[in-house]
Amino acid sequence: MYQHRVFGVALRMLGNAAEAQEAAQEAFLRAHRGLAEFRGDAKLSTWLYAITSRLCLKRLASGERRLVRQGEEALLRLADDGRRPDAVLERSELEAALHRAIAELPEGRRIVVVLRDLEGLTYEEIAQVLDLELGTVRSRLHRARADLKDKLERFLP
Amino acid sequence: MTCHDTRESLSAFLDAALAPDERREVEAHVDGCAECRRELERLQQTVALLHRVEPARAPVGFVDRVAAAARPLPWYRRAAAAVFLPLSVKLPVEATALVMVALLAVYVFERTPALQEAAREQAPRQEPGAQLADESRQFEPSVRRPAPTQSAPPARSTAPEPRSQDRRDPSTYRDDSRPPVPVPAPAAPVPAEPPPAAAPPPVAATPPPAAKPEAPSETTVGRGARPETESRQESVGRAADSVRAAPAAPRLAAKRAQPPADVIARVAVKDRDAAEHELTRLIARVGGTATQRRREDDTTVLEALIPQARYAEFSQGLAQIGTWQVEAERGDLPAQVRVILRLQ
Repeated sequence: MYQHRVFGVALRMLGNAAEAQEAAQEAFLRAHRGLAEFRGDAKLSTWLYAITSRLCLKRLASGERRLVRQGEEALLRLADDGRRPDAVLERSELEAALHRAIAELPEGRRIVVVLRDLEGLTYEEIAQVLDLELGTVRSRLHRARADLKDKLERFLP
Repeated sequence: MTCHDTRESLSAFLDAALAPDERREVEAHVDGCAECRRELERLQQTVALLHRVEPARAPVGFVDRVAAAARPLPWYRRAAAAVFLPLSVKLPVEATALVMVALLAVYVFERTPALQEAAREQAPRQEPGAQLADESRQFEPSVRRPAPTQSAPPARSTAPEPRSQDRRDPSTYRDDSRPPVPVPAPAAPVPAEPPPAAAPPPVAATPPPAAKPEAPSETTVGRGARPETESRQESVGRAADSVRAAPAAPRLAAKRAQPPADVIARVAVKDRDAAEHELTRLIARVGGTATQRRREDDTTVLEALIPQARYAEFSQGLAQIGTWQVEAERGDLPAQVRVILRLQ
């Protein structure tokens, strides 16, 4: 359950399954070691999102990332997906465009839109996870969505 | 509300994250502005696209890998934990160290006080040691002389020089494993030393003056009490006590020191050499062992250990060798009777 959410955030943020897996594993190990620090007033998921987000942002900022291997995500999905090839292609094109568009967002906006539109967190939760003001979350989210709207124009009806 | 302000709030409007009055303002503006209405639709469609993204799934085996990674800590962390971390480890280790230090201290304490005590008792016990020489003389009144005489030099020619000195220094008795008691004192070493410069050490020099004042009374007691066995035994006991107390300098040696003589006897013989020979055979016959033999100008001192069971046989045999007279005898003889015989 949580592992998919943590892995999902890492994957969207880092854009690479192998690196996302590393980051997700590290996030869980940190959570395991720091379980005593977990405050009961927060949701466990929020706490895990906070750890994962910090970890991913730190990785992105450190520049120690591996080169993103192009097409890896699409190949992973093709291998996993049992649907009809044309549907797969259609879907993978959209998803690739979405993924690329998300990946091209500045990191500060990207994490907000991932947490809101992909993971479904509330503004308040995002503010808590990222330790941001509510207004900052709101404006960053708007900027991110506006960017995505422009980039995904051709997929809009 | 301007179009710019409205568009800034459209995202939050979609998420129903606006305050009621702000929301009403946005609704009013959008109703009247086609551009902003279209912008809102596009934004809504974009969010809908984002919601179509299938949630990512962690690879198969991811949880197992995480669990495996969570269980064993890396070696460096385990080492760090062993060195720095839990009090439950550190405390017993420190407690053990403390106990070991305490045990060591007790061990040293056990050793050192013994030495200290012996050192403390050294000074007072030297006196009994000095008396011992006197007491020993009371068993041999015939040999006793007014201490420093000029007969010493000839005696020194036959008797080995260090022995006469040993007799004077009670601290050396144990090292020599000789009983100090019945040795005849033919020579007082202090004046007997040929060159005055080579006088014996101060320790050896002190006993004679200290013993002198007591000498007359001791001598009379010794002479008068000679036939009385009890008095002899008492004397032997006292001598024994003195011997036990005497060896102050070799304190540790004193602990393993031999017991004092149980029987001291004088044997009058015609031929000392022949008697000595016979006596050696007799000792061997009764299963005893000769431990010491010392020849002096007119006396041969022979010391032996005789099994108590065959002591009677030994004394019978002794009667055949010569006329023997007990000078001192312990009341209860031990299993190994320590006999000192003076052949004259």
